[in-house]
Order: sequence, then structure tokens, then C-alpha cells
Amino acid sequence: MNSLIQLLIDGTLTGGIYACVAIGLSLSFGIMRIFNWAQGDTYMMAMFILYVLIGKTSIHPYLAIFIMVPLMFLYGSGLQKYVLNPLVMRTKDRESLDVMLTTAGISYIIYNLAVFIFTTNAKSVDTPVSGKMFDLGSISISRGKVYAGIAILCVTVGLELLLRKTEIGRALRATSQDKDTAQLMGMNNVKLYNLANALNHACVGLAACVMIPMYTVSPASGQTFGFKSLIVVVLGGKGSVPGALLGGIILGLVETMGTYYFNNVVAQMMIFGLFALILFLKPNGLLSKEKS
Amino acid sequence: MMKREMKLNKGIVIPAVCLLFAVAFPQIVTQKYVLQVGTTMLFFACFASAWNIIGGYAGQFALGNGLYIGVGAYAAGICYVGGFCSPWIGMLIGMVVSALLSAIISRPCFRLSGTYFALSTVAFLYIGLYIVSSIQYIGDFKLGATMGLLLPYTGRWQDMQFEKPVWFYVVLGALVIIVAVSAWIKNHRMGYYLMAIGSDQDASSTTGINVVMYKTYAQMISSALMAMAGSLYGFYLLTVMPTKVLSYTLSLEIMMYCVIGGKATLWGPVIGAMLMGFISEFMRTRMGASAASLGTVFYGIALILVVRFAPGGIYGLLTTLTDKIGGKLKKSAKVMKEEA
Repeated sequence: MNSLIQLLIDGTLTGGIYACVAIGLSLSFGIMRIFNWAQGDTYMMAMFILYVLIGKTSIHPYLAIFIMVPLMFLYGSGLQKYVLNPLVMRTKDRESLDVMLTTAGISYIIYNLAVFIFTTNAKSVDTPVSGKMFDLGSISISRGKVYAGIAILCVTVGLELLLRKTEIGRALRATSQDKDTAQLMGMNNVKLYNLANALNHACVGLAACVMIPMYTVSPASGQTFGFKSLIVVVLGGKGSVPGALLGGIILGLVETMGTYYFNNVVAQMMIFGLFALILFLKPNGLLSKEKS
Repeated sequence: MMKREMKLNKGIVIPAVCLLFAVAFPQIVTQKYVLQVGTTMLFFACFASAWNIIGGYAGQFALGNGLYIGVGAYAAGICYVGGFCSPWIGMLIGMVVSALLSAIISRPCFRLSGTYFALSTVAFLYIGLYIVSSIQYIGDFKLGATMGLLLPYTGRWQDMQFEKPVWFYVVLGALVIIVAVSAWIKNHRMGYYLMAIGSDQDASSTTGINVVMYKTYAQMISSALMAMAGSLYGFYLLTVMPTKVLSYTLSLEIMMYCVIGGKATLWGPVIGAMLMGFISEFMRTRMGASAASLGTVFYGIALILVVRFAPGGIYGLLTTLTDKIGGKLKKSAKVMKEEA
């Protein structure tokens, strides 16, 4: 019984971590219909920046949030402004294949640069949070994961409030529903897109900060987290922020349970099987209100 | 009539010259290393040309089609290591299995579009990768899970094994077959239908093209050709490892060669694979092994530049360039005639 509770808690918290990486993607995909194939590699890049930063200054990873989030915000905004927007604006289709190819190219560049600079070996940093546990009788929970869980809850609530309660949020939702009409109503789509991608990258920066105490970083970790975040977004429904959290938790639970009762390979197989099922049965995701 | 003959000549002369050069290549070059690079480049050209049928002509970005490379490699490998039959028959089995498997898988996939379609094919690639990596034994036969199949070396052609210069010719032959199939499709009704589907699916559906059927045909042909090249690839490496033949990165690179070279053109994928392979090898030899990944960074940059500034790829650039030069020559010839 205790082991089941332990598994449930572990799975949920791991899921929260996947949601951390994916939540911004869900937002920006909902608004722009751009699937960022470089999501995982962007996360890996943020981890490596953090790795160098902590190695050089031994700053506390949670303090580094105040550096990483603005940095990634600027990067995301710049990327959208100079690389992606010219492509988004020139196609009439909702989903631009060119943008998909470009983000795939970016992912490839980041991955190979990381291999060139850091080699393929996994690296980790020692932080004050690493390896610490909360002990509750027979159950023990990683402290870092609890803090990450709190962070993702704050981000979810924050993004939802931004989308539902503010003027900018209304503008973002409007352009996601119909970008041409929104433009006619006086919204600046270009600026909104910059903002959406910047928010996505800021979330990735935050995710890197809460994850570096627990996870090693290697160039290959980008691919792992990239696909998981794509799966999370499809599971949750495009553009749905709470959906991304739900998708992340489902993914975390399936993975933890599968690994415990079978083995890691079977767990990964189950994840991709579930993913294919959702794609075919409910392509708009579990929490999406949009009709296909 | 004259004009048509001229055009035909131009269309045949350049590939013929290239083919002659390729045939002479192993005779001119004696260094083993250069030959090896050439063979690898030919393999990538094979994959990219096969992928072009579904990804280029039909415009369906099946990013997970590395799956069929794995199917081909494993089919031939299992037949050989298990001693069931010759790997050449295994290759044929792999092609048939690939075509059937892709027909089954793509039914539901084709209901999705754009990114979701690409994602669904990648999902199947990963499912295949994890299934193969988790199976140690099938009955008595050792599949080897993540370690893969080790192919014992005999060097006999019956076992699909050759000396290095002969390998070059074998892969060249495979490339000729794939390009021939691709050319046949491009110049027949199926190619026109696929191109129509690629440019506007809904419009081509309303004009009476059976979209799903033709996409499925394209996918089946493409994956059978992939499996053919894939089984050769496995035997060339002498190991069939899940991470090598069922690789997402390989699938991504194949797509890049095709797009950079010029998608939906006959020679674009071949040009792309040759050029990119040459650049990465050049950087590897000039700047050392650590720069090898820097060479592949260039792929990404080239992809982004091509998508942004030259959607027709390198082939598109070349044709506009030759047209311009041709136009100028004609003009100057006209001027000279008038002056005379």
C-alpha cells in the first residue's frame, strides 16, 4: 500500500516536471499553431547555460531563476521576431510547414553545438537542494521535485490568470481564435506572437532552474524531453494550460507505474502507444474545447 | 519536334555524365577512406530519394520513416543470422513487410494533417524502436535487444557482403533503381496526382482524386524502397542495432537532405545528400573529429536558410541560374545576329 502511495506521489511530481517544460509550448501552440520541434533542445540549452553559470558563480539554482527567465524571454522573443515571424506571416495556412522545418533545424543546431562544446557525456552540478528528501514515515519524497511541483502550479495559475483576466490575455486568445479578424480589430499579431514565444521560452528557463538539482544534463536529454513535451501538449489539448498540467501528470504516472511494474523500455513503449491512441481517438486532446 | 529532342538530350546528358563519373569513381580513387565516404553519401542519397516520394511529391512530412529502414535491415539480418534464407530474399521480404506495415499504419495517420501527421509517424518509429530494443529472444532466435544483431562476415556476395569498391557499385545500383522509380512516378499520372495533393489536398480531393488512396500508394512505394536501401545499409555496417537503423535523427537528416536539395524534384534529394555529406566529411577531415558535429550544425543552418530564402532548394537555385545564363546567351546571340 505504502509503495503504491509512494508511486502515485512520485509519478505526479515527475509529471509536474514534464508539464514544466511543456506548458509554454501548449500556450504558444494554441496561439500561433506553431509546434516548436526544438522545445526539448531549448530546455537542454537552458540547462547547459545554467550548468556553466552555477559552475562559475555557484549561485543557488532558485536564485538563478531571476537571470534565466529574463534571458530566455529575450531569446524567445528575438527568435520569433527575426527567424519565425517572416515565415508565419507569408503563409495563408493555419499551420506552416516552413516553421516546422525551421524549428527542426534549430533543434538540430542546438544539439550539435552542445555536442561540440560539452561532448556527449552527462553532466550534473551539486546544489544545496540535490539529493535532499522529505521523510514522511515510510514514504520519502525528493525535495527538489516538491519545489518543482509548487513552481509548476504557480506557473499554471499565473498563465491562466494572464489569459483570462488581463487585456493582453484577451488579445492573445482573440488572435488564437482568428488571427485575421483580430488584426482587423486592431491587434498587433506580430507583437502578440513575439510575446507568446517569449513566454514559452521563459517557462522553459524556469523549468531548467527547478530541474537542475535533480537531473543530469547531456545533449541527448533534449530529445527525451522534447518528445515528452510534444506528447504532453497533444494529451492535454492544444492551447489549454491546465490541460498541459493534466497531460504531464498522466505521462508521469504512466511512466512511473510502467517502470515499477515492468521496466523502463516497456514504460516508454506504453507512453508512445498512449500517444498514438490519443492522436487517433481524440486528436484535439483531453481538455480542448475546440472542434477539429 | 526539334525542341523536344533538344530538351530530352539535356535531361539525359547531365545525369549520364554524373553516372559515368560515379562508375569511374572507385577506379580513380584508391584511398579506402574516400571510397567509404562516397558509399555513405550514396546511401543517404538512396534514403532521401525514397523519402522524396512521400515527403516531396505528396508533401506529407512523414518524419518517422526511418522505421522502414529498420524493418528492411532487420528482415535481411534475421534471415541471414538465423540461417532461414539468403539475405537477398530477406530484403524482398523486408520490402513487402514494409509496404504492408506502412499501409496499415498510414490509414489512421493520414486522417491527421501537418504537424500532427509528422508526430504520429514519429510515434510509430519510437514504438518500433522500443519494441525491438526490449526483445532479447524470439523463440530460440537471439534478436539481441539493444545490442542488436551482429552479422558474421563471410565476404560472399550470396550473403550480401562485398569488398569495399564493389559495395560502392551495389549502392549505386540501388540508387539508380530508386531514382528510376521516382522518375517513373514523377512523369506519370500518379506523380501529377501526388503533386496536386502536395500543393492543395482539399482542392485535389474536389477534382476527383482519391487522396487517401494515392497517399497510401506513395507511402507504400516509399517505404518499400527505404527497406531495400535499409537492408543494404545494415549489411554494410555489419551490425543491425536498433539505435542505428531505427533512428529519429537519421529520419530527420534524410528529410533535411531532401529539403535542402530541393523537395519534389527528381535530383534534389541526390544533390542534397551529396553536398551535405561532402561538407560534413570535409570539415571532419580538415578540422578533426571534434568538428564533425560542427559540420552537422551546418545542416541546420542550411535548412533554415533554404526554407527562408530558396524554397525550391539547391536544385531550384541551379535551374533558375542555368535558365538565367541560358536566357542571357540567347539574348546575346540574338543581338549578334541582328548586328551581323
